[in-house]
Amino acid sequence: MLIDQLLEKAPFIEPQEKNKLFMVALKESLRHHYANSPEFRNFADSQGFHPESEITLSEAPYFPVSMFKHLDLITGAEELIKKKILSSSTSGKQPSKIHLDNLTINRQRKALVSIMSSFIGKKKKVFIIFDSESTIKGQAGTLSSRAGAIRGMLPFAQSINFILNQDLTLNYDLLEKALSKVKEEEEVCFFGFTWIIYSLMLNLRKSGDQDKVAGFFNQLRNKKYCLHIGGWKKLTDISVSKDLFNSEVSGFLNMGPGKIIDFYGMTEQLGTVYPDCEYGHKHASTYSEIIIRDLDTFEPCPPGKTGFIQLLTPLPHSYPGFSVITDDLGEIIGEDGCPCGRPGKYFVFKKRIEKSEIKGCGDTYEQ
Amino acid sequence: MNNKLVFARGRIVAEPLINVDGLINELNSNLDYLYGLSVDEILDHFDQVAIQLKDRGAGDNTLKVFADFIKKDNLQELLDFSLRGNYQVLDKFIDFGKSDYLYTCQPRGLVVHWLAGNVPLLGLYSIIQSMVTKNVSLVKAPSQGYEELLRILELISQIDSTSIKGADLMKTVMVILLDRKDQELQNQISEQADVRVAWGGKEAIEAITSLKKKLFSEDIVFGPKYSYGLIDRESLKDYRKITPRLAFDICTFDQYACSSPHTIFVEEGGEVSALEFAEELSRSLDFVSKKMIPKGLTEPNKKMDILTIRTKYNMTGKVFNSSDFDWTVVYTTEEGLAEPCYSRVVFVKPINDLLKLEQLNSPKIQTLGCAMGSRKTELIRKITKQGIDRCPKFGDMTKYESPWDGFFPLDRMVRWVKVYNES
Repeated sequence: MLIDQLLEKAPFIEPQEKNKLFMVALKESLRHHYANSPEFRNFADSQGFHPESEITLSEAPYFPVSMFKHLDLITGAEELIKKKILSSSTSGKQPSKIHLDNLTINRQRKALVSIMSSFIGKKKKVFIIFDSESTIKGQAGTLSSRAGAIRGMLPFAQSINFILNQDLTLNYDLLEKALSKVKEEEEVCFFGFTWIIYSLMLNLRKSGDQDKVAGFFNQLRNKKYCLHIGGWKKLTDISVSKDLFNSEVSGFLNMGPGKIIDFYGMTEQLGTVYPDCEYGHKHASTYSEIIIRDLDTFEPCPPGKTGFIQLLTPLPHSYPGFSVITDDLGEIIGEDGCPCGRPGKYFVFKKRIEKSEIKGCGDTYEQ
Repeated sequence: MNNKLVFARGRIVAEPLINVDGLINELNSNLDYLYGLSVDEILDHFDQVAIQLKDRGAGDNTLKVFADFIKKDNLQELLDFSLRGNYQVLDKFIDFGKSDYLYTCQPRGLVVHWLAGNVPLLGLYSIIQSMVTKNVSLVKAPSQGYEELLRILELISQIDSTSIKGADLMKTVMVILLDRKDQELQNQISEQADVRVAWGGKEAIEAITSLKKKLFSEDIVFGPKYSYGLIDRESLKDYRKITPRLAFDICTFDQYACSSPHTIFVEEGGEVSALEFAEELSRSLDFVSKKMIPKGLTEPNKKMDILTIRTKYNMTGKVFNSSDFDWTVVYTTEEGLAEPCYSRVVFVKPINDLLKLEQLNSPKIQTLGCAMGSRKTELIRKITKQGIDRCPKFGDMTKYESPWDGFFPLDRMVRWVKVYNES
């Protein structure tokens, strides 16, 4: 299959080669979902779209990512579904529900490993997780997106060490145990959800324990990265910028701010993640594409203009998540020009669009 | 946000809000002026204002609807109906033919209005009602979208009639902006109110009604409400006449008013199906949006909401929409009331048993726009047991009337006095 051939490629390849391969793989994905997802077929028909028609990337149909909150979208046979991932739903009323079959799981895992290796290398690391072990325990085939993200790190892990209690407070015993196990030559990587790391730090600061805990982290010699994921909404609400986050967390963990890596990604397109490069840019890998759409017209924007982020990937097989538009705002900085050397489009995430404060009287509907 | 005085003495101003007590004293000093006017003089004045507003605001639908409201015949009818059948009770003692008493109405004094952020212009309706009952008004406007309200108030103050100078009459109204977190000032104005008029959502209403108040002040609450529509089988023969009127209801206030329809039930078995009705409604919405009530700016986040609705129902139902984000008609067989999206997004649903509507009604439901045949009163009586305060025909859903929200606001703005009658 063409999609699987695409996955054999390196995570960042020259656009000339990528564009051709990507469009072919995307069309294969469109054909598959058109044939096997009644909802997508209805939608495509309503838009006058047929998967056999000649299209450019920006002409591929897309729909709001929130659609996965509204509908249980499954492509193909339901009995092939192995896992259901629920988004963390920090800003919405209901979580997204993403249904994964084995093929999708394998493709997304492969993409994740390939992309992450480009940023943190292939050598396995000791992972210190700012979360509770209970988080990764799913129920009856259902997994939270936090659990999914943590599990996604397993291929890079020599060992995984959770250091929080279930109520997300620090467990000193677990922390000490984790640190005592780390050998001098081992590389250490911290991992957690952005708001969990920050709120833990704030709570420790309030209780006067921040320096004490920072002292623990100071014992570690070979700290490579702090990877964090999950979005900025809660931090934006309390006016914490990325720079402030990086500066405070690097102080807390006693590592350079350049080693704090923010991931952009979404439950609806697991695997194709967008970590910051050392220049603070996010890169569209071989396995996905980005289009920025105008806030008023939804037409594609040129580099340098802020708009809605649309992400495309042919990887999802069991749900029609190949082209979604988010309510996140971003801006493409350029193509092929990032000093980090990764080819292709690179972009920055700006913020989640603000909801209007003005509400209609009919909001009584939900009360 | 800085606290500001933005309308006073008949003009738009921009002054820091320093001495609220002084402003309230100034307003109260105009009570005698209002009291000295006869209700006919006030109504005649507004009648002439209505004519001029229509001339000056040609094409402005909000202004047209408001001008219709302040026409003498409309206000007189509202007053008559609200005040036991004789609006002149505002000027003198009236013999209603009841026992041995004559009755008159006295103004309550200072009406403080808290306007809603979604449709601040609705505040004009409570301001006018305060004036015709000879009360003075202190208006707390929302921090956004109040400019149009000021523009209309200033326009009114520039219009003179035979016996009243607009600028004099409008001295009885002041508009302020007030930080909602400024509890001290909020309490200060609330404590001096003889009538508190609260427009807004649940949170706003709860905050306003929990402010300090005079023991005998009256509260008029226009809280959050949901409205919908119903076309029965019999009426579907006139569906082409119904859809333009319904489109008008949808476009007025862009569905942000309590009386705006969000869901339309179409009874099955009539001349056209609900789906055909939805398609016809889409043509009417297109016409009304293009020719009569053009839509204003749609915020990007609202466009995303609209895109979400369109996508969802293109997957599961049928959608008719403009090529831009102006209007959307969703046809769906989902039961119940649709969650409002606003911004000219309406849901059309088939229904086979109209009595099912009773289960949907509660005190949260305000208006049921109707096109009904011979079963009208019988059915409406049954289904309004738990909720729904008004059932106008389509085209009149957003027209402000009395009673509103199930009560007579004008009646709450006066104090009834009776004197024994010896005759």
